[in-house]
Amino acid sequence: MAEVTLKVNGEERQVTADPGDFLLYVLRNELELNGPKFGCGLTQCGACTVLVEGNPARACMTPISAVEGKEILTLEGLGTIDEPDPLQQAFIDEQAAQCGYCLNGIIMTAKALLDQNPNPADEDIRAALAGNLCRCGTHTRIIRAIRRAAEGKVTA
Amino acid sequence: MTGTRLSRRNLVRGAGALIVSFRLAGSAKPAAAQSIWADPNVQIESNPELDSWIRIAEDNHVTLFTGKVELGTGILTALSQIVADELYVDFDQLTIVSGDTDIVPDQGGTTATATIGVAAVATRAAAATARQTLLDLGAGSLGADSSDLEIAGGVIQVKGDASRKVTYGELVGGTLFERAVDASAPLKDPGEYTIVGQSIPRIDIPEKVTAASGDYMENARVPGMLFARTLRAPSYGATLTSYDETVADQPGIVAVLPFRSPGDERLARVEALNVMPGDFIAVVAEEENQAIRAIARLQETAVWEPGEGLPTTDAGLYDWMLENAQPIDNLTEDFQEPLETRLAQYEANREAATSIVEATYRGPYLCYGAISSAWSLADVSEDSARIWTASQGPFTAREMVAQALGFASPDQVQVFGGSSSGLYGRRDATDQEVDVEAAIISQAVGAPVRLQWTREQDFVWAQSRPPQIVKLEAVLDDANSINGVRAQIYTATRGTYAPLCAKGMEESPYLLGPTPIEGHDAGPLLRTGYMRNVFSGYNVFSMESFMDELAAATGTDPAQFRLDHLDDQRAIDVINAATERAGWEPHQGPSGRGMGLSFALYIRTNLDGPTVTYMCYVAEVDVARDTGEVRVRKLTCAIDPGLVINPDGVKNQVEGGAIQATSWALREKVTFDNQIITSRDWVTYPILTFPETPEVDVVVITRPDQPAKGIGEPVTVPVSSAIANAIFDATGARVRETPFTPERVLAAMEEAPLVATPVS
Repeated sequence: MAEVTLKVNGEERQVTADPGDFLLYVLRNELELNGPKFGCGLTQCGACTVLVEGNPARACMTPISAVEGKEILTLEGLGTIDEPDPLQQAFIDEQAAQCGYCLNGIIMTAKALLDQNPNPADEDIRAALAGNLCRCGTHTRIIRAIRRAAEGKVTA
Repeated sequence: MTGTRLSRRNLVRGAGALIVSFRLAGSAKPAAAQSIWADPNVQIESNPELDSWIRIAEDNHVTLFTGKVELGTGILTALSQIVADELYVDFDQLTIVSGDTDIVPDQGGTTATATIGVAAVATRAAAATARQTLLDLGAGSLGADSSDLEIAGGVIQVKGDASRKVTYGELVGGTLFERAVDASAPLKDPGEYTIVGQSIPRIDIPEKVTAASGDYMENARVPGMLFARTLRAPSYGATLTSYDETVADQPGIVAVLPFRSPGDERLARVEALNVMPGDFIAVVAEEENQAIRAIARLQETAVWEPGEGLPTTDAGLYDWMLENAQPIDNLTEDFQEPLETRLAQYEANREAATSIVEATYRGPYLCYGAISSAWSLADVSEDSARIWTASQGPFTAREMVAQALGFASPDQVQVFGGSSSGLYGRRDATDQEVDVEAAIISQAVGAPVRLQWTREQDFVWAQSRPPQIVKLEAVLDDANSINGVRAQIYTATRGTYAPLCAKGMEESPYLLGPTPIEGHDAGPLLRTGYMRNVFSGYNVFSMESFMDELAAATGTDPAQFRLDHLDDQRAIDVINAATERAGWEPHQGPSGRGMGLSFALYIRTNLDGPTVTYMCYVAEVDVARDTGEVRVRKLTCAIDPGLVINPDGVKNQVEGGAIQATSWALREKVTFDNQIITSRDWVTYPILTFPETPEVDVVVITRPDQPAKGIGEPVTVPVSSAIANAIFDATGARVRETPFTPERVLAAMEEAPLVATPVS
């Protein structure tokens, strides 16, 4: 166990951890962040997704040694319930949730997509989310929400 | 945007300090537990005090308490709409509190599409009782006759005199109603609804997309919480022989706990609950990463004595079911005529038939596939326990945990339920094993423990939806009308599941003549549970595929053939609405357009206040002729659930149910070898992904003159048959077994199309 400095949502956070520890449990259990979710622990469902240097990463099997010193962004780093990020607001506007448990990973993946491709076609959105599983079947609303965010048509 | 949030902070803000465990200990009648979810009157009788349901604060804020939990279907929003309307308060004036067994009324599990159709009836009765009480109090306070009063926003005023008014809060704020819920309290006229029927945004979405603190039960944490993982056997029935006990010396490991049967008293108590499938080792650690590492080491070193395993593999499942099937004796006791009468009528018609058509349909075991694998947080002391969980039945979990811990009363256990990942039946009924495990582990180490099941455990050790074989035979007369259908249903499950799987066949509203229905159960193979629409799904897949085959056999348009056998106007209306919206063109035989239709009337039988929801889907598919790959382009649905509480909520549920059921139809099947389930992750049990998702178009039909009924299960029911019928329309090939894999579709294209068998 060692002292490790993680840069999470623009802040430097000290944690005590083993270099091989998976990032998800450090974020959830030590830093008490609720955005990244445990889904499968196998990098297959996407519920745990965070952005590392702007790219989607599956926190459930990412060792913290691989992210030390890098910018980690979680869902909390986008916006708050009182001041949601436009992408989060687009999901509210479209009512794009059923259980919503997958949405952390979907919103973070969409954030990376829109940062790299501000005007994606529906096919681009579908392809970007190919590795994110949604069991409730909210796919069509999610696609609409991301398109709405891209078009800037969110509630102010 | 509405901002009502389900957090402790708002709970306190909403109703003041009075909310301290009002639900009287022991006030729920244990005898009611079996039927409480199905009967609003039992819910009221079990929770008679109005104060258990509704509280009003001095600031005129209303707090509503419900035993139901939010699984993503929007029920907390819908219940809030119903009560706000019934109470004549603004939607934002109301906060709903859910899932804490110490403070909410037991309304049974959140299950079986019974929130809007059943629980809301009890909840609305409480609201109506509260309004009547407040109106009477207001009349006294204002010195006016109650018939001269009107209410808006929780303010009672003398009609035409704005100076004479009093608020609910001024009348009862901060005090108790101290009266019983009146199940027959006068209800608001549905014609006066102003909140019911509106697409009010879901109250829980803002916090879920921003990870606000109250968003999911999964975020529950308590000081000093330890983390547990378990290792389970490599085959069913295997017993633990040995393991590397030095794992206990790894950093951060608090305990390594083998649970072995027989001989372990804790395990014996738990096995008596029929929830715990065999031996396991629990590791408890200070950090979750430490527990994961320890389990990896144990997995390498544990030695197991093989168990009995399974009598067949998934490849032999249907043969095994037919070989081992036993008739279900009590199947038809609720039917209007005895089976013998129906069979005799059917046989007489068969003798006189112009033609006879038969077909057999099959559907495999399915996995719930909740994205959040099961977990539970237990804090057990000597004589009490607190459990934070994503259960559909917090009150059932409470009883089972109390039994497992050897407690005298369930009142020694407090269960916190609430918003969670969608569960689809995964944590329904007695399926509270993860809470029981967390509790006995916490009891063993004397500290709060959060137990996380792995994805693999959630596939391999949880229940599956039971498989079914449905053999159908129809008698057609010379007018191409159905004059009898005989159904023989085979399943592999246990207890009450099997007859209910067969009874689902009784729901058809078609005019079919005599319908003898025979059920057979081969007994349990895998553990089975109540997955979404378990009793209707495969029956409707079979019957609606069969209707399509009969339409083709008689040279009739599939939509017209159904209409020819219906006299129920609501059924006729949904079929016409769906076909019109989808651009259906009448045709005989495969049109090549790849459009298929399916109808369903969903009824939960044998309940007080049955759910009656009408649906018709039109599926549009492309079939790759060289590979057999099926792509569902679009699903159009018309749905009539009676009075619609929240139209966008209904649309959301239809879209989701359509897509989930498309995944079942195209992709899903639990596989197993002679030892254990081999579907163990999202690679070996693939589900539909974003690139494959169909467009979904929904027509919502509201009927204010009909009771509001649920839709969560129904919306998934007629999807696989609509897709099968669309595959037939595209190719002339009939697939009679789900999932519709490329191999199966290619094989069907090789077969001769079904032709009515002439009577010899």
